[in-house]
Amino acid sequence: MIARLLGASLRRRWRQLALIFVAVGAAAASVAAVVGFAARAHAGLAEDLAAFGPNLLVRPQVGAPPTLPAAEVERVRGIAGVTWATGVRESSPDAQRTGDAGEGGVERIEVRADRGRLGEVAAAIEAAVPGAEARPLLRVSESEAALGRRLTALLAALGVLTCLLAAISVGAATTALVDERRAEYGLFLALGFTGRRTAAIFATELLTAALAAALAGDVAGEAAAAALAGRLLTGAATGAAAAPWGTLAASTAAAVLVAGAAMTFALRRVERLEPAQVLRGE
Amino acid sequence: MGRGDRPLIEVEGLERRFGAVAALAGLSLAVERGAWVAVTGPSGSGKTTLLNVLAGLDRPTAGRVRVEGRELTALSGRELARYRQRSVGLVFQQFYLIPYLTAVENVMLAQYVHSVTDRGEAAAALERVGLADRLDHLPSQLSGGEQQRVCVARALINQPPLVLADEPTGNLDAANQDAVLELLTDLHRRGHTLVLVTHSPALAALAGVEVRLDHGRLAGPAEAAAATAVAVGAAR
Repeated sequence: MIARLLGASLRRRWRQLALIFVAVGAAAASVAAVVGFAARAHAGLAEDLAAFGPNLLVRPQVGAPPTLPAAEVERVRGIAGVTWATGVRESSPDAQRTGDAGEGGVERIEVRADRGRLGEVAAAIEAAVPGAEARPLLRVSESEAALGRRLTALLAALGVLTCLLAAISVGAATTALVDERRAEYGLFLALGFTGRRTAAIFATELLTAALAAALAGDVAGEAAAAALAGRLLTGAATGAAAAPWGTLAASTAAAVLVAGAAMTFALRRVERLEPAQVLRGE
Repeated sequence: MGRGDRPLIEVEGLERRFGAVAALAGLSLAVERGAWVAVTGPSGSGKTTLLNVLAGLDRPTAGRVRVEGRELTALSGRELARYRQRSVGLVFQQFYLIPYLTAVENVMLAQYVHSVTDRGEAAAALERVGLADRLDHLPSQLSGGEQQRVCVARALINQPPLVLADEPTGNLDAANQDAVLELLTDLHRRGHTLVLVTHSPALAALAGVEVRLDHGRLAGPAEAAAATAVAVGAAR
Protein backbone atom coordinates (compact mmCIF):
# COMPACT_ATOMS: atom_id res chain seq x y z
CA MET A 1 0.00 0.00 0.00
CA ILE A 2 2.78 2.41 0.92
CA ALA A 3 4.47 1.80 -2.46
CA ARG A 4 1.20 2.48 -4.28
CA LEU A 5 0.57 5.55 -2.15
CA LEU A 6 4.06 6.89 -2.85
CA GLY A 7 4.05 6.05 -6.54
CA ALA A 8 0.66 7.65 -7.15
CA SER A 9 1.50 10.73 -5.12
CA LEU A 10 4.88 11.21 -6.82
CA ARG A 11 3.28 10.86 -10.25
CA ARG A 12 0.56 13.34 -9.38
CA ARG A 13 2.93 15.96 -7.95
CA TRP A 14 5.83 15.61 -10.34
CA ARG A 15 5.85 19.35 -11.06
CA GLN A 16 6.19 20.33 -7.40
CA LEU A 17 8.62 17.50 -6.78
CA ALA A 18 10.68 18.55 -9.81
CA LEU A 19 11.89 21.61 -7.91
CA ILE A 20 12.92 19.44 -4.98
CA PHE A 21 14.54 17.00 -7.41
CA VAL A 22 16.53 19.75 -9.13
CA ALA A 23 17.66 21.40 -5.88
CA VAL A 24 18.67 18.14 -4.20
CA GLY A 25 20.19 16.92 -7.47
CA ALA A 26 22.33 20.07 -7.71
CA ALA A 27 23.55 19.58 -4.16
CA ALA A 28 24.33 15.92 -4.82
CA ALA A 29 26.07 16.80 -8.09
CA SER A 30 28.28 19.43 -6.47
CA VAL A 31 29.32 17.02 -3.73
CA ALA A 32 29.94 14.25 -6.27
CA ALA A 33 32.03 16.69 -8.32
CA VAL A 34 34.18 17.60 -5.30
CA VAL A 35 34.73 14.00 -4.31
CA GLY A 36 35.26 12.87 -7.90
CA PHE A 37 37.72 15.68 -8.65
CA ALA A 38 39.68 15.15 -5.44
CA ALA A 39 39.83 11.42 -6.10
CA ARG A 40 41.07 12.03 -9.64
CA ALA A 41 43.69 14.52 -8.48
CA HIS A 42 44.91 11.94 -5.99
CA ALA A 43 44.84 9.21 -8.61
CA GLY A 44 46.75 11.54 -10.93
CA LEU A 45 49.51 11.83 -8.34
CA ALA A 46 49.75 8.08 -8.07
CA GLU A 47 49.77 7.72 -11.85
CA ASP A 48 52.61 10.22 -12.26
CA LEU A 49 54.46 8.54 -9.51
CA ALA A 50 54.71 5.36 -11.51
CA ALA A 51 54.47 6.55 -15.09
CA PHE A 52 58.09 5.93 -16.08
CA GLY A 53 61.59 5.46 -14.64
CA PRO A 54 62.25 4.55 -11.05
CA ASN A 55 59.47 4.83 -8.54
CA LEU A 56 61.45 3.98 -5.41
CA LEU A 57 64.61 5.56 -4.10
CA VAL A 58 66.87 3.69 -1.67
CA ARG A 59 69.33 5.81 0.35
CA PRO A 60 71.44 5.29 3.44
CA GLN A 61 69.57 6.17 6.62
CA VAL A 62 70.58 9.32 8.51
CA GLY A 63 73.53 8.48 10.74
CA ALA A 64 74.49 5.42 8.67
CA PRO A 65 77.55 5.31 6.38
CA PRO A 66 77.03 7.68 3.37
CA THR A 67 77.08 4.89 0.82
CA LEU A 68 75.48 1.53 0.46
CA PRO A 69 77.58 -1.45 -0.52
CA ALA A 70 77.30 -1.95 -4.29
CA ALA A 71 76.50 -5.60 -3.66
CA GLU A 72 73.18 -4.49 -2.15
CA VAL A 73 71.95 -3.55 -5.64
CA GLU A 74 71.87 -7.20 -6.51
CA ARG A 75 70.06 -8.01 -3.28
CA VAL A 76 67.40 -5.38 -4.09
CA ARG A 77 66.92 -6.86 -7.56
CA GLY A 78 66.07 -10.15 -5.94
CA ILE A 79 63.19 -8.76 -3.90
CA ALA A 80 59.69 -9.72 -5.08
CA GLY A 81 57.95 -6.85 -6.90
CA VAL A 82 61.16 -5.18 -8.08
CA THR A 83 61.32 -4.81 -11.88
CA TRP A 84 64.79 -3.35 -11.98
CA ALA A 85 67.32 -1.60 -9.72
CA THR A 86 70.33 0.58 -10.46
CA GLY A 87 73.06 1.82 -8.16
CA VAL A 88 74.10 5.51 -8.58
CA ARG A 89 77.43 7.02 -7.57
CA GLU A 90 76.87 10.78 -7.51
CA SER A 91 80.23 11.57 -5.94
CA SER A 92 82.18 9.99 -8.82
CA PRO A 93 83.41 12.49 -11.46
CA ASP A 94 80.70 11.50 -13.99
CA ALA A 95 78.04 10.63 -11.46
CA GLN A 96 77.69 7.42 -13.32
CA ARG A 97 74.95 4.94 -13.01
CA THR A 98 76.08 1.45 -12.70
CA GLY A 99 74.05 -1.46 -13.85
CA ASP A 100 76.42 -3.84 -12.19
CA ALA A 101 77.19 -4.01 -8.55
CA GLY A 102 80.80 -3.14 -9.33
CA GLU A 103 83.33 -2.12 -6.71
CA GLY A 104 82.83 0.26 -3.73
CA GLY A 105 79.60 1.85 -2.54
CA VAL A 106 76.65 3.66 -4.16
CA GLU A 107 74.95 6.83 -2.85
CA ARG A 108 71.53 5.59 -3.85
CA ILE A 109 69.73 2.79 -5.57
CA GLU A 110 66.95 3.69 -8.02
CA VAL A 111 64.30 1.02 -8.18
CA ARG A 112 61.29 0.41 -10.38
CA ALA A 113 58.72 -1.72 -8.60
CA ASP A 114 55.11 -2.82 -9.09
CA ARG A 115 52.92 0.29 -8.73
CA GLY A 116 50.42 -1.38 -6.51
CA ARG A 117 53.03 -2.79 -4.15
CA LEU A 118 55.28 0.22 -3.57
CA GLY A 119 54.83 0.29 0.18
CA GLU A 120 55.27 -3.43 0.51
CA VAL A 121 58.44 -3.44 -1.69
CA ALA A 122 59.87 -0.44 0.21
CA ALA A 123 59.40 -2.27 3.49
CA ALA A 124 60.97 -5.42 2.05
CA ILE A 125 64.01 -3.42 0.84
CA GLU A 126 64.46 -1.75 4.22
CA ALA A 127 64.29 -5.16 5.87
CA ALA A 128 66.74 -6.71 3.39
CA VAL A 129 69.32 -3.88 3.21
CA PRO A 130 70.65 -2.90 6.63
CA GLY A 131 70.93 0.89 7.16
CA ALA A 132 68.84 1.67 4.05
CA GLU A 133 65.77 3.85 3.73
CA ALA A 134 63.35 3.25 0.80
CA ARG A 135 60.90 6.02 -0.25
CA PRO A 136 58.45 6.27 -3.19
CA LEU A 137 59.37 8.93 -5.77
CA LEU A 138 56.98 11.84 -6.41
CA ARG A 139 57.10 13.23 -9.91
CA VAL A 140 54.12 15.59 -9.86
CA SER A 141 55.10 19.19 -9.94
CA GLU A 142 54.36 21.23 -6.85
CA SER A 143 52.43 23.75 -8.91
CA GLU A 144 50.06 21.11 -10.20
CA ALA A 145 49.55 19.67 -6.76
CA ALA A 146 48.79 23.16 -5.46
CA LEU A 147 46.35 23.74 -8.34
CA GLY A 148 44.61 20.49 -7.49
CA ARG A 149 44.32 21.47 -3.84
CA ARG A 150 42.99 24.93 -4.68
CA LEU A 151 40.42 23.60 -7.12
CA THR A 152 39.27 20.99 -4.65
CA ALA A 153 38.83 23.68 -1.99
CA LEU A 154 36.93 25.92 -4.44
CA LEU A 155 34.66 23.05 -5.45
CA ALA A 156 34.10 22.19 -1.81
CA ALA A 157 33.08 25.78 -1.05
CA LEU A 158 30.73 25.75 -4.04
CA GLY A 159 29.36 22.41 -2.83
CA VAL A 160 28.58 23.81 0.61
CA LEU A 161 26.92 26.88 -0.92
CA THR A 162 24.87 24.71 -3.28
CA CYS A 163 23.78 22.48 -0.39
CA LEU A 164 22.69 25.52 1.64
CA LEU A 165 20.71 27.00 -1.26
CA ALA A 166 19.18 23.58 -1.95
CA ALA A 167 18.16 23.20 1.69
CA ILE A 168 16.43 26.60 1.63
CA SER A 169 14.59 25.86 -1.64
CA VAL A 170 13.57 22.37 -0.56
CA GLY A 171 12.42 23.72 2.81
CA ALA A 172 10.18 26.27 1.13
CA ALA A 173 8.86 23.70 -1.36
CA THR A 174 8.06 21.09 1.29
CA THR A 175 6.31 23.64 3.49
CA ALA A 176 4.19 24.68 0.51
CA LEU A 177 3.45 21.01 -0.20
CA VAL A 178 2.23 20.48 3.36
CA ASP A 179 -0.09 23.48 3.08
CA GLU A 180 -1.41 22.18 -0.22
CA ARG A 181 -2.03 18.72 1.23
CA ARG A 182 -3.51 19.69 4.58
CA ALA A 183 -6.84 18.02 3.82
CA GLU A 184 -5.08 14.82 2.84
CA TYR A 185 -3.10 14.73 6.07
CA GLY A 186 -6.21 15.70 8.03
CA LEU A 187 -7.92 12.65 6.56
CA PHE A 188 -4.97 10.42 7.52
CA LEU A 189 -5.25 11.68 11.09
CA ALA A 190 -9.04 11.25 11.10
CA LEU A 191 -8.64 7.66 9.96
CA GLY A 192 -6.42 6.95 12.95
CA PHE A 193 -2.89 7.54 11.69
CA THR A 194 -0.76 9.24 14.33
CA GLY A 195 0.87 12.56 13.49
CA ARG A 196 4.26 10.87 13.46
CA ARG A 197 3.14 8.14 11.08
CA THR A 198 1.54 10.68 8.78
CA ALA A 199 4.75 12.70 8.78
CA ALA A 200 6.73 9.51 8.09
CA ILE A 201 4.64 8.81 4.97
CA PHE A 202 5.35 12.36 3.76
CA ALA A 203 9.05 11.99 4.60
CA THR A 204 9.28 8.69 2.72
CA GLU A 205 7.84 10.38 -0.34
CA LEU A 206 10.36 13.21 -0.19
CA LEU A 207 13.28 10.91 0.55
CA THR A 208 12.35 8.77 -2.45
CA ALA A 209 12.57 11.89 -4.63
CA ALA A 210 15.82 12.88 -2.89
CA LEU A 211 17.41 9.48 -3.54
CA ALA A 212 16.47 9.63 -7.21
CA ALA A 213 17.98 13.13 -7.29
CA ALA A 214 21.13 11.77 -5.61
CA LEU A 215 21.57 9.20 -8.39
CA ALA A 216 21.09 11.79 -11.13
CA GLY A 217 23.33 14.24 -9.28
CA ASP A 218 26.02 11.61 -8.91
CA VAL A 219 26.09 10.96 -12.65
CA ALA A 220 26.21 14.71 -13.41
CA GLY A 221 28.82 15.37 -10.72
CA GLU A 222 31.02 12.52 -11.95
CA ALA A 223 30.87 13.83 -15.49
CA ALA A 224 31.77 17.33 -14.30
CA ALA A 225 34.66 16.00 -12.20
CA ALA A 226 36.03 14.01 -15.14
CA ALA A 227 35.78 17.02 -17.46
CA LEU A 228 37.47 19.36 -14.98
CA ALA A 229 40.22 16.93 -14.13
CA GLY A 230 40.87 16.17 -17.79
CA ARG A 231 41.14 19.86 -18.61
CA LEU A 232 43.08 21.08 -15.60
CA LEU A 233 45.22 18.22 -14.32
CA THR A 234 47.87 16.55 -16.47
CA GLY A 235 48.00 12.83 -16.10
CA ALA A 236 44.83 12.69 -14.04
CA ALA A 237 42.40 9.86 -14.60
CA THR A 238 39.71 11.29 -16.82
CA GLY A 239 37.82 8.21 -17.90
CA ALA A 240 35.99 5.98 -15.49
CA ALA A 241 35.19 7.28 -12.05
CA ALA A 242 38.22 7.21 -9.78
CA ALA A 243 36.10 6.27 -6.77
CA PRO A 244 32.58 5.44 -8.03
CA TRP A 245 31.19 4.12 -4.73
CA GLY A 246 32.80 6.95 -2.82
CA THR A 247 31.13 9.62 -4.95
CA LEU A 248 27.80 7.79 -4.89
CA ALA A 249 27.95 7.49 -1.12
CA ALA A 250 28.90 11.16 -0.78
CA SER A 251 26.18 12.40 -3.14
CA THR A 252 23.56 10.17 -1.47
CA ALA A 253 24.58 11.40 1.97
CA ALA A 254 24.41 15.00 0.75
CA ALA A 255 20.95 14.45 -0.76
CA VAL A 256 19.60 12.80 2.39
CA LEU A 257 21.13 15.48 4.63
CA VAL A 258 19.83 18.36 2.51
CA ALA A 259 16.34 16.85 2.19
CA GLY A 260 16.28 15.79 5.84
CA ALA A 261 17.35 19.18 7.16
CA ALA A 262 15.03 21.02 4.77
CA MET A 263 11.90 19.06 5.62
CA THR A 264 12.29 19.14 9.41
CA PHE A 265 10.06 22.20 9.68
CA ALA A 266 7.48 20.81 7.25
CA LEU A 267 7.35 17.48 9.08
CA ARG A 268 6.80 19.26 12.38
CA ARG A 269 3.84 21.05 10.79
CA VAL A 270 2.37 17.72 9.67
CA GLU A 271 2.81 16.23 13.15
CA ARG A 272 1.09 19.21 14.76
CA LEU A 273 -1.92 19.34 12.43
CA GLU A 274 -5.24 19.38 14.26
CA PRO A 275 -7.54 17.13 12.22
CA ALA A 276 -10.74 18.87 13.31
CA GLN A 277 -9.38 22.25 12.20
CA VAL A 278 -8.11 20.85 8.92
CA LEU A 279 -11.37 19.12 8.10
CA ARG A 280 -13.26 22.30 8.93
CA GLY A 281 -11.13 23.90 6.23
CA GLU A 282 -9.33 26.28 8.60
CA MET B 1 -23.20 -2.01 35.55
CA GLY B 2 -21.39 -4.13 32.97
CA ARG B 3 -19.84 -2.67 29.88
CA GLY B 4 -22.61 -4.12 27.72
CA ASP B 5 -25.32 -2.47 29.83
CA ARG B 6 -24.09 1.09 29.80
CA PRO B 7 -24.73 3.45 26.90
CA LEU B 8 -22.18 3.42 24.10
CA ILE B 9 -21.78 7.20 24.40
CA GLU B 10 -22.05 9.21 27.61
CA VAL B 11 -21.56 12.96 27.49
CA GLU B 12 -21.68 15.10 30.63
CA GLY B 13 -21.42 18.88 30.85
CA LEU B 14 -19.57 19.06 27.55
CA GLU B 15 -18.12 22.44 26.71
CA ARG B 16 -16.04 23.46 23.74
CA ARG B 17 -14.97 27.04 23.43
CA PHE B 18 -13.21 28.74 20.55
CA GLY B 19 -11.94 31.86 22.25
CA ALA B 20 -14.98 33.66 23.61
CA VAL B 21 -17.41 31.61 21.55
CA ALA B 22 -18.95 28.54 23.15
CA ALA B 23 -19.66 26.00 20.42
CA LEU B 24 -20.88 23.54 23.04
CA ALA B 25 -22.15 24.82 26.36
CA GLY B 26 -22.70 22.18 29.01
CA LEU B 27 -24.20 19.50 26.78
CA SER B 28 -25.18 16.19 28.33
CA LEU B 29 -26.57 13.16 26.55
CA ALA B 30 -26.28 9.43 26.23
CA VAL B 31 -26.59 7.16 23.22
CA GLU B 32 -27.39 3.49 23.53
CA ARG B 33 -25.69 0.83 21.44
CA GLY B 34 -27.40 0.27 18.12
CA ALA B 35 -29.15 3.63 18.20
CA TRP B 36 -29.56 5.92 15.23
CA VAL B 37 -29.36 9.53 16.32
CA ALA B 38 -29.79 12.54 14.10
CA VAL B 39 -28.20 15.72 15.41
CA THR B 40 -29.97 18.73 13.97
CA GLY B 41 -29.96 22.44 14.50
CA PRO B 42 -29.11 25.70 12.77
CA SER B 43 -25.63 26.48 11.46
CA GLY B 44 -23.28 27.29 14.31
CA SER B 45 -25.31 25.33 16.86
CA GLY B 46 -22.37 23.01 17.61
CA LYS B 47 -23.41 19.91 15.65
CA THR B 48 -20.09 19.35 13.89
CA THR B 49 -18.14 20.26 17.03
CA LEU B 50 -20.06 17.57 18.92
CA LEU B 51 -19.31 15.06 16.18
CA ASN B 52 -15.60 15.99 16.20
CA VAL B 53 -15.39 15.53 19.96
CA LEU B 54 -17.14 12.14 19.73
CA ALA B 55 -14.73 11.17 16.94
CA GLY B 56 -11.69 12.06 19.05
CA LEU B 57 -10.71 14.67 16.49
CA ASP B 58 -11.19 17.56 18.91
CA ARG B 59 -10.78 17.90 22.66
CA PRO B 60 -13.44 19.53 24.82
CA THR B 61 -12.70 22.56 26.96
CA ALA B 62 -14.60 21.02 29.86
CA GLY B 63 -16.88 18.08 30.61
CA ARG B 64 -16.64 14.36 30.11
CA VAL B 65 -17.04 12.17 27.05
CA ARG B 66 -17.14 8.44 27.48
CA VAL B 67 -17.35 6.07 24.50
CA GLU B 68 -17.42 2.31 25.07
CA GLY B 69 -16.49 3.07 28.66
CA ARG B 70 -13.33 4.98 27.64
CA GLU B 71 -12.94 8.53 28.88
CA LEU B 72 -11.80 10.36 25.75
CA THR B 73 -10.66 13.46 27.61
CA ALA B 74 -8.08 11.35 29.46
CA LEU B 75 -6.55 9.80 26.33
CA SER B 76 -3.19 10.90 24.92
CA GLY B 77 -2.86 11.88 21.26
CA ARG B 78 -1.61 8.41 20.39
CA GLU B 79 -4.45 6.75 22.30
CA LEU B 80 -6.99 8.98 20.59
CA ALA B 81 -5.54 7.92 17.22
CA ARG B 82 -5.95 4.27 18.27
CA TYR B 83 -9.54 5.03 19.34
CA ARG B 84 -10.26 6.50 15.91
CA GLN B 85 -8.70 3.44 14.24
CA ARG B 86 -10.72 0.90 16.16
CA SER B 87 -13.95 2.45 17.31
CA VAL B 88 -15.02 5.09 14.83
CA GLY B 89 -16.01 5.21 11.19
CA LEU B 90 -16.28 8.70 9.75
CA VAL B 91 -18.43 9.83 6.82
CA PHE B 92 -17.79 13.37 5.64
CA GLN B 93 -19.92 15.78 3.69
CA GLN B 94 -16.87 16.61 1.53
CA PHE B 95 -16.03 12.87 1.13
CA TYR B 96 -12.28 13.52 1.62
CA LEU B 97 -11.17 10.84 -0.81
CA ILE B 98 -7.50 10.81 -1.83
CA PRO B 99 -7.72 12.05 -5.43
CA TYR B 100 -4.80 10.01 -6.77
CA LEU B 101 -5.98 6.69 -5.33
CA THR B 102 -8.69 4.55 -6.90
CA ALA B 103 -11.95 3.78 -5.10
CA VAL B 104 -10.69 0.44 -3.80
CA GLU B 105 -7.36 1.98 -2.73
CA ASN B 106 -9.19 4.70 -0.84
CA VAL B 107 -10.98 1.98 1.11
CA MET B 108 -7.71 0.10 1.61
CA LEU B 109 -6.20 3.25 3.10
CA ALA B 110 -8.45 2.77 6.14
CA GLN B 111 -7.19 -0.82 6.41
CA TYR B 112 -3.61 0.43 6.11
CA VAL B 113 -4.06 2.23 9.43
CA HIS B 114 -3.76 -1.26 10.89
CA SER B 115 -0.71 -1.94 8.66
CA VAL B 116 -2.55 -4.75 6.84
CA THR B 117 -4.50 -4.35 3.62
CA ASP B 118 -6.83 -6.79 1.92
CA ARG B 119 -7.92 -5.78 -1.55
CA GLY B 120 -10.57 -8.52 -1.67
CA GLU B 121 -12.18 -7.26 1.51
CA ALA B 122 -12.06 -3.66 0.29
CA ALA B 123 -13.62 -4.72 -3.03
CA ALA B 124 -16.36 -6.59 -1.14
CA ALA B 125 -17.10 -3.44 0.90
CA LEU B 126 -17.48 -1.46 -2.31
CA GLU B 127 -19.72 -4.17 -3.76
CA ARG B 128 -21.96 -3.84 -0.71
CA VAL B 129 -22.42 -0.14 -1.47
CA GLY B 130 -23.16 -0.89 -5.12
CA LEU B 131 -19.79 0.05 -6.62
CA ALA B 132 -18.56 -3.33 -7.82
CA ASP B 133 -17.92 -1.89 -11.27
CA ARG B 134 -16.12 1.23 -10.01
CA LEU B 135 -13.27 -0.34 -8.03
CA ASP B 136 -10.47 1.07 -10.14
CA HIS B 137 -12.00 4.46 -10.84
CA LEU B 138 -10.40 7.59 -9.46
CA PRO B 139 -12.63 9.88 -7.39
CA SER B 140 -12.69 12.35 -10.29
CA GLN B 141 -14.30 9.63 -12.40
CA LEU B 142 -17.10 9.06 -9.87
CA SER B 143 -20.30 11.01 -9.27
CA GLY B 144 -20.88 12.74 -5.92
CA GLY B 145 -23.15 9.92 -4.76
CA GLU B 146 -20.59 7.31 -5.76
CA GLN B 147 -17.86 9.18 -3.93
CA GLN B 148 -20.03 9.30 -0.82
CA ARG B 149 -20.60 5.57 -1.09
CA VAL B 150 -16.84 5.03 -1.27
CA CYS B 151 -16.60 7.17 1.86
CA VAL B 152 -19.21 4.97 3.58
CA ALA B 153 -17.35 1.80 2.52
CA ARG B 154 -14.13 3.26 3.91
CA ALA B 155 -15.85 4.13 7.19
CA LEU B 156 -17.11 0.58 7.57
CA ILE B 157 -14.13 -1.45 6.41
CA ASN B 158 -12.72 -1.82 9.93
CA GLN B 159 -16.13 -2.74 11.40
CA PRO B 160 -16.29 0.16 13.87
CA PRO B 161 -19.04 0.01 16.51
CA LEU B 162 -19.75 3.74 16.04
CA VAL B 163 -20.36 5.50 12.72
CA LEU B 164 -20.31 9.30 12.76
CA ALA B 165 -21.50 11.13 9.68
CA ASP B 166 -21.41 14.86 9.06
CA GLU B 167 -24.06 15.89 6.55
CA PRO B 168 -23.64 12.65 4.56
CA THR B 169 -26.22 13.72 1.99
CA GLY B 170 -25.41 17.43 2.03
CA ASN B 171 -23.67 17.46 -1.33
CA LEU B 172 -25.88 14.97 -3.14
CA ASP B 173 -28.79 15.18 -5.53
CA ALA B 174 -32.10 13.54 -4.66
CA ALA B 175 -31.32 10.19 -6.32
CA ASN B 176 -27.98 9.88 -4.63
CA GLN B 177 -29.45 11.02 -1.30
CA ASP B 178 -31.85 8.09 -1.51
CA ALA B 179 -29.02 5.67 -2.23
CA VAL B 180 -27.02 6.89 0.76
CA LEU B 181 -30.07 6.85 3.03
CA GLU B 182 -30.68 3.27 2.01
CA LEU B 183 -27.08 2.45 2.93
CA LEU B 184 -27.41 4.09 6.32
CA THR B 185 -30.65 2.25 7.01
CA ASP B 186 -28.89 -1.00 6.17
CA LEU B 187 -26.02 -0.11 8.49
CA HIS B 188 -28.40 0.54 11.32
CA ARG B 189 -30.22 -2.70 10.63
CA ARG B 190 -26.89 -4.52 10.93
CA GLY B 191 -26.34 -3.14 14.43
CA HIS B 192 -24.03 -0.15 13.92
CA THR B 193 -24.60 2.83 16.16
CA LEU B 194 -25.10 5.89 13.97
CA VAL B 195 -24.79 9.52 14.92
CA LEU B 196 -25.51 11.78 11.99
CA VAL B 197 -25.35 15.52 11.72
CA THR B 198 -27.91 16.67 9.22
CA HIS B 199 -30.06 19.49 7.99
CA SER B 200 -32.19 17.04 6.06
CA PRO B 201 -35.65 16.48 7.52
CA ALA B 202 -35.87 13.21 5.59
CA LEU B 203 -32.71 11.89 7.19
CA ALA B 204 -33.71 13.15 10.64
CA ALA B 205 -37.06 11.40 10.24
CA LEU B 206 -35.35 8.11 9.47
CA ALA B 207 -33.30 8.26 12.65
CA GLY B 208 -34.75 6.80 15.82
CA VAL B 209 -34.02 9.92 17.81
CA GLU B 210 -33.45 13.51 16.88
CA VAL B 211 -31.22 15.62 19.09
CA ARG B 212 -31.70 19.31 18.35
CA LEU B 213 -28.95 21.71 19.26
CA ASP B 214 -29.08 25.47 19.56
CA HIS B 215 -26.11 27.57 20.68
CA GLY B 216 -24.33 24.49 21.93
CA ARG B 217 -27.22 23.30 24.09
CA LEU B 218 -30.05 20.86 23.64
CA ALA B 219 -33.09 22.63 22.26
CA GLY B 220 -36.75 21.93 21.71
CA PRO B 221 -38.87 19.40 23.55
CA ALA B 222 -35.90 17.64 25.07
CA GLU B 223 -34.55 20.81 26.58
CA ALA B 224 -36.12 20.33 29.98
CA ALA B 225 -34.77 16.85 30.33
CA ALA B 226 -31.36 17.97 29.15
CA ALA B 227 -30.45 19.69 32.39
CA THR B 228 -28.79 16.52 33.55
CA ALA B 229 -28.79 13.96 30.78
CA VAL B 230 -30.76 12.80 27.82
CA ALA B 231 -31.02 9.09 27.49
CA VAL B 232 -31.40 8.25 23.84
CA GLY B 233 -32.96 4.89 23.45
CA ALA B 234 -32.35 2.39 20.72
CA ALA B 235 -33.95 3.25 17.45
CA ARG B 236 -37.56 2.54 16.93
